[in-house]
Amino acid sequence: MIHRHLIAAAIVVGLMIVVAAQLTDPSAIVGQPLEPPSTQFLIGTDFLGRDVGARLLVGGVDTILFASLATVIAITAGILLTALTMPGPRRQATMMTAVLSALLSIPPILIAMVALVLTDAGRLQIAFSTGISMGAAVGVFLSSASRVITGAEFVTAAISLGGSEGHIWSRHIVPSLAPYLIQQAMVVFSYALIMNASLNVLGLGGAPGSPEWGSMLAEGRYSMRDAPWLVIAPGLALVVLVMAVNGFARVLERRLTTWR
Amino acid sequence: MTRRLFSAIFSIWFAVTLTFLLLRIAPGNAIHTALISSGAGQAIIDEREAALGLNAPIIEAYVRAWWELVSGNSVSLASGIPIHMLIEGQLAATAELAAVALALAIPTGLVTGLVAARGSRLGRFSAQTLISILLATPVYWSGLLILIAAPALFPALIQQQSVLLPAAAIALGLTGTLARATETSIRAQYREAYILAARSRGVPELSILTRHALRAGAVPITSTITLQLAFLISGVVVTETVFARAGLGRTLVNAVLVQDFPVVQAIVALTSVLTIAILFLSDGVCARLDPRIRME
Repeated sequence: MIHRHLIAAAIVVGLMIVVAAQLTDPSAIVGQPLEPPSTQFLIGTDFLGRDVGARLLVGGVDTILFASLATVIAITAGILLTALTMPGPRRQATMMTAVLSALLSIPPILIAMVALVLTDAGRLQIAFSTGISMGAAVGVFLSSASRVITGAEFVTAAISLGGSEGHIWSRHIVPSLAPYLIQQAMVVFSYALIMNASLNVLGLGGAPGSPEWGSMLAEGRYSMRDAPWLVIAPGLALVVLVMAVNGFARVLERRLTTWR
Repeated sequence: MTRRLFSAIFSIWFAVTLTFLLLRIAPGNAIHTALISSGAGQAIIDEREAALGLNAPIIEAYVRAWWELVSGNSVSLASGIPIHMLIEGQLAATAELAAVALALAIPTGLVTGLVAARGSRLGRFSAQTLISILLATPVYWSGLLILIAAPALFPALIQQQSVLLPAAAIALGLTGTLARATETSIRAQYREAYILAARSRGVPELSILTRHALRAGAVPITSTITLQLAFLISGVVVTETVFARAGLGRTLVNAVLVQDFPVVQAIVALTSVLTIAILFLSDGVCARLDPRIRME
């Protein structure tokens, strides 16, 4: 029950941030460059004299948006890979499993970097590369989860009752997969937050000047000796958000394992 | 065993071919960019690209890519340096960074995990909180924090450009995952009946932990350490850039930025071969630790 209240509180705070973000202009130059935190600018100003606090609010919305986009791409890629492995003849399944494990052995950051070579280096491309780089991991997770479910008793029961392949997949297997999918999506989302920002910090892409937390970190690096708040604030925001997402994912995982 | 070896070889082939195909369809390359920005005409660009074999038919290019990887006989498009020299020069720095990071992370991760699973109430709470924070902290951020704090705290380390600082940034993240794996594994062991049996025989608590639970829980911990390889690699890439340290990771980032494809191809291939080899070895180690796991 406590978790339900927590989720409600998180949604309310999130909405407030979205509203507040509409009221502020993140690129307005409002003070001197690199002003330390004060009552006027709670987290100081950046190298152009823009309000870091306002940028953090507005950028948070974008950060979440692009990480969600990466998550959707990763999950879609994972589902496609699983769909190729699951049904069909045995030989095809064995081959696809080999492909999946081969894909899995390439470190995600390398896949993301190669994907970034292919595209331009905008914000969408970063989200795309992040998503693609995690597709194999989602695929492996989903195909092992669906193997567990296809072996479950209620599926055997449905088969012996004469259910068709399509009926069993749409009515029994996919609905039971849904909670696993949501839990996996949260894990992927928290990785996507970190990976998007790390591609930004590496200077491989992103939109310079946009208030996303990754871009703020990348820009803040150059004046962090004089103005450490430029690096500390967006990083801390990222850590808190990732901790919250990980916490929800763990609660969900515990539910799933006790249910099983 | 042979099947496992076969799948390792397949993985390597797959990684190289995938990178080759992706880089093949990439628009532009380092030569093109460099010549365009120096004001060269299309004719000169075509001539140069043809001399380097960049426009060769796909089969020929594929065979040559393999030959170049095996013989190490290719040159960087951006600098003209032979790639085997480029990699040999950087490999030592990267290996040192990764080794120091692992050496820092394995003991701290094991201890934190043990405290989180079996410590006192306060110890468990603080260790678990620490693990959650570490798991959520991106490597580049801990790296930047270390860079901010180090001049005041450890001026000597900054001056020597010590490997300890970047390694610490990677180790912080690794400690989190390792500790979480240890915690989960040890908890699961303590739910088993053989622990109760040992207790009822009067085996001291400490030797239950070290001789029973840790030994049985070692397999999941070992496999987590190897699965963290991808994390270690991305950590190395990021920290080398953040700390402006020489190494393969930084070379790769620069090669991606200027579209120096032979370098990207070589480093991705090398990393994949290393990753696959280590995963293969770790399966062997797990089979030695736990006779129930047979290498299929």
